Amino acid sequence: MRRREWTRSSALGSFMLAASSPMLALWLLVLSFASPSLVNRARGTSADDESVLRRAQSVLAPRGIEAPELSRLALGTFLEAQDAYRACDFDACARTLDALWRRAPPGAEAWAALPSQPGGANFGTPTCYYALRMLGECVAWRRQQAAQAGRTSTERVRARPIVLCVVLAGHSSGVSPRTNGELEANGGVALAHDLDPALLANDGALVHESLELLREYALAITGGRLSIDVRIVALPELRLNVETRAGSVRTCGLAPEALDVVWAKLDASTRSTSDWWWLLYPSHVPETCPDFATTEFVTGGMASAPNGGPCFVIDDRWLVRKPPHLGRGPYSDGERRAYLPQWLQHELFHHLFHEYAELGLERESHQWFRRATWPDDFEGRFEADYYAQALEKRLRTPRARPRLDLVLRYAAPPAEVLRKLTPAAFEGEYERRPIENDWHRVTLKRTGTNELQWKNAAQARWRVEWDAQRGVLAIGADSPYFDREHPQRNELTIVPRRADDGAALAEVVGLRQGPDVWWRTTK
Amino acid sequence: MTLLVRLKKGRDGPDALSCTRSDGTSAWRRIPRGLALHDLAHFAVETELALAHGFFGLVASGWSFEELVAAHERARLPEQAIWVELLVSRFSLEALDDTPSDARAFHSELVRCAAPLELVVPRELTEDELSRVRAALRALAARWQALAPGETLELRFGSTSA
Repeated sequence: MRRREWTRSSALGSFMLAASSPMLALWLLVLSFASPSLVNRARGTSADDESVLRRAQSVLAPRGIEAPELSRLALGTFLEAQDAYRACDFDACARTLDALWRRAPPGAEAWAALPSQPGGANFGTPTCYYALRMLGECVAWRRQQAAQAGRTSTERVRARPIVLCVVLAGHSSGVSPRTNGELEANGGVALAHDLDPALLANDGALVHESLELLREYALAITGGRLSIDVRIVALPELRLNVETRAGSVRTCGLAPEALDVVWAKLDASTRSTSDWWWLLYPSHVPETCPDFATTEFVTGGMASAPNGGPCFVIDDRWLVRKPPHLGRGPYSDGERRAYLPQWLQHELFHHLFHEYAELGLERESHQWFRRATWPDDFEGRFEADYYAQALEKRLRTPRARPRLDLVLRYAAPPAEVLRKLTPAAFEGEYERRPIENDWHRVTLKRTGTNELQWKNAAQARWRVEWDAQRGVLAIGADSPYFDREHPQRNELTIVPRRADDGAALAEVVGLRQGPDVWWRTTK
Repeated sequence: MTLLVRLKKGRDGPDALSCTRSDGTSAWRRIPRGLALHDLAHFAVETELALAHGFFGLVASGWSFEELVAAHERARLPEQAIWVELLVSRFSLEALDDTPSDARAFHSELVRCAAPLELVVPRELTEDELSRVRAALRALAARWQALAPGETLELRFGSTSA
């Protein structure tokens, strides 16, 4: 990290300051009135080509990595711009980014010509492109807020933060192939792995750093309405089954029931007060076997948590080293800063496009990789351009209902809200969108003190029972959806109407079962 | 409203500040070398003077580090937070220059710095309060100095034990 240092000998002695601490930012706010000269010295100018190239070289040269000029400009720009951002020098950050975009605009062909992992380094593909675009969104929002500060701030509603719960599973075990032959035959040796201690070191520094840009991005794309608090939950005793599979896509990830196992291990409070999830488990990738020295194994992706929230899933080494298909060796700080946001953004947009299925932005899986499938009004070339266009032209427009920051809240309503709900509050008609058959149109009618009847347009019906204590509708054993093996799946959670600040209100607008929502169409 | 504050001394790079709230959520940030003293001064000021709306108090109550640097959020900062920043600034400078002043002079300097902010300094600290904050800061700084690289100073904000 570049250190922006200055010394004020008369008053601060040898106290060296580097403006990357929130407390210091506050302090600078004070000093900006008390001592303008000090602060003026902190206001940097944008980094020019030479300085960003020097910055890139300071990262690449020690590792003997040679890269094209645009890759070096992109890397140096990202590191310089993010440092300026961290120092709250948003103007300098924007100027640094703008200088790069003038050289190679978003979507320009020059980006497509860059090598994917120069010298075994992984800064994302094209180099830093996703992270640069995300940072661009962030700094545009920060500058807009700064410009509006004083005009609107006193009227602004303070949005309630959501909680991203990062679950660290202690162990994994499963059969691991040593050769392609064993992989094809679903054979191998039984192996167990422990969580890489690097993930727990320094109060979860790797996790926090990996999330840094995503958290800012979530704030930016929701206009400051979605602040993410991180909660790290280590489950050192938890052992999850993993599987390695051949096929058109090779996978080496959690066994199907793993999420249920994790969910059952979490305490009720953590489950009910968390919105988003990130499950990290010990890697089982057989990368030390010569047959798999360059093999890509898919080890995770985006899942839907039982509360409907996004659940990022990946193996622990994803944060520690480059997997064989993405480079060589351990991740450097710069690589992690640039690449992990790309991965997190990719997974988050799977979730967003599922939540707004009616917008048709992922009709085909990963359709952003095929330019011909893009909506006609979308511009750009790369996946990151697709996301930027999706935000600008769909997700941040009135076409996206409910509003983005409200859709992305999944924690259960608090007890005081649940207490206000009675079975009568659920009566009405619901539909699952898109409606594909008569089972997707439903009427809920009260039949007893806490009991309701779920009846769909295909005339199938079963019992559901309101459990006010847990805030769920329990699906009756007479339902064809009743799952005896996974009791936690036999629950519908509430999608409440939300106040402008995200607070849950005592009004049911939908019912959720895993990734599916039945939206209420009548009261 | 409690907060587990952990300041880790970096081995080759920056130090790190971690704040874990009682609900299990946490904020984490690398902090440049030299800035730990500023953090410790916050801790000393806010705990010794029982100020609930300084930096650590705000983080404990749910403010994120990001909110504290957002221009539009600053307008919502309680005045006490600005007062705390001024106090921390004064105590830090004193500690570095080893030039403690008496209560009257301390207050005058604070009022001078507060004027451009249109902040009315709520009250003058007593000699006893000044002594307690200085002693707490000295003790915290000594503990920090004694740490080897890679070790962590752990403090509890919002409880009696530090």
